[in-house]
Amino acid sequence: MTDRWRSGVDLTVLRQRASMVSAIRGFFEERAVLEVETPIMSRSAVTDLHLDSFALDVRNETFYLNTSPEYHLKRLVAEHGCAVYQLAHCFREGEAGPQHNPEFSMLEWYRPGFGSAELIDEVIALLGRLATMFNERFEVRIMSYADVFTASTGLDPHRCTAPELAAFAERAGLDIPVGLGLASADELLAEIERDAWLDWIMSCHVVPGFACDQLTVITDYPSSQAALARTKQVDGRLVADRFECYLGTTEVANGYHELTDAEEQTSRFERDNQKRETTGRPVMPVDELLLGALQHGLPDCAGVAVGVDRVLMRLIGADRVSDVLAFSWDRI
Amino acid sequence: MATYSTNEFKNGLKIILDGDPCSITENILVKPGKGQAFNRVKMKNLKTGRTLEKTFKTTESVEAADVEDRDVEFLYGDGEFWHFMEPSTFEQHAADEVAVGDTAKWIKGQEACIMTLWNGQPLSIQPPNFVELSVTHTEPGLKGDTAQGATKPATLETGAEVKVPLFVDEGDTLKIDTRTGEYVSRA
Repeated sequence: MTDRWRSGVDLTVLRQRASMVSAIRGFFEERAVLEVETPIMSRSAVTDLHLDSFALDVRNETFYLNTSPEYHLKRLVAEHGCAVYQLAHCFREGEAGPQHNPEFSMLEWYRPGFGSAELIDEVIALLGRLATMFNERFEVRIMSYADVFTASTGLDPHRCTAPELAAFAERAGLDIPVGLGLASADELLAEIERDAWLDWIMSCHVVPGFACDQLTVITDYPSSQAALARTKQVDGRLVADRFECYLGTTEVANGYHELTDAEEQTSRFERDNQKRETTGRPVMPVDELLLGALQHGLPDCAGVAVGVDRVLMRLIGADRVSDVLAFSWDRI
Repeated sequence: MATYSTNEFKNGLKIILDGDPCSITENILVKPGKGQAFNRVKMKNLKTGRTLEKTFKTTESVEAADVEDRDVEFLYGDGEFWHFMEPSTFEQHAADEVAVGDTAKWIKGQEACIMTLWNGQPLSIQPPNFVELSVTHTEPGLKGDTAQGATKPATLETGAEVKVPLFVDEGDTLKIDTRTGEYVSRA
């Protein structure tokens, strides 16, 4: 208690963070990507089954703290059509742990005219510049979700069932979380459970195999995990045009070739809320203003969100996110 | 039956796992940015003393364990039960051989202990870190025997056996560290 007034980080870390932010700003200035600021609060909330927003009840109205600046940034891109970036504070309720702080910083940017491949190159260029600044080097490996999952488990993640995933986990002697069940007859519950198995096996078996001095880019996620990415056909399978980046075993970025179809986005938000209802979670107000922007027309673009706290952790060799935050959750 | 959901998990929380009361010692959130969250939990089984790890899907809830620690004083043992009293309330508790465990070796009367109760029943007893007990039996030490490090067995008034330096005699009162079961010094 006596020490809780302190920030929890020393001056060195504050300086390292400032250098990183300065380098990020320089990178985007060179590439003519415009820095913008958008609100932290919104009248609507993300509908994702696995994200919970902080809610503020103010005089009969409820506002939500953003879990990412995505919706405001997309509205800006739909209106002005230019490349933009934001260093935003985001809030995710219930996410506290060695790698999670409920309030954290996200660098998010959108590139009209880019596809996933071009944006991945830009993420690699940015992380490479930051690595050099901190005397670190990363080998880059780009693999599809299917390739990395199959190499690790022998299963096709786009086709295998929850029982097959469960059987693999058992054979491989993996810890099986309490509550992780098998496919239910209900189509929605079955999809939720299968995704949960995929997430668990990725977290505890596939990702820990990534080399620690490697920047691993995983492309083409399962279509059930598309979120706001468009889907595409690859080798006869429907996959999400979504990628993630890992520095070593630390997840640091999530990017999409953005979905621009307003109707498809609407039905995805509705499906999200159905999943919420089915699992006993509160239904969230859909962002009609984002849908309005999509109806007006979002340019073909790719966007990515980078967890800069995580990046800084990796660059300075910190184990916990609280090591890079001035006033982490327990000190506010 | 009270329950805790995984987002209430924190160090020191007492829960029931597979029928045994356990205390959480570590709770790590494992969650991909846009995916299912899990809690990787380390805990100590309060009945067996063993540490174990268990992962929970975050939508799970667990049964809360009615476990609490009380300050107690050892009164006496009657061969079957060890009797303790809470000095603040005069409430008495009888602990069996399993609950007392190794602590039986170190207590003779009036020691301040910590008793862990589960559903109101004694689960385990923690003795004070240091106790003073007299030697009831040991081989006589040879006068002038100053060989470093040499030890001999000695039996204490509680029946416990410890290794002691050769100069220790029957009737000596010894200070014992109960955490290691080792002789510290003569009292």
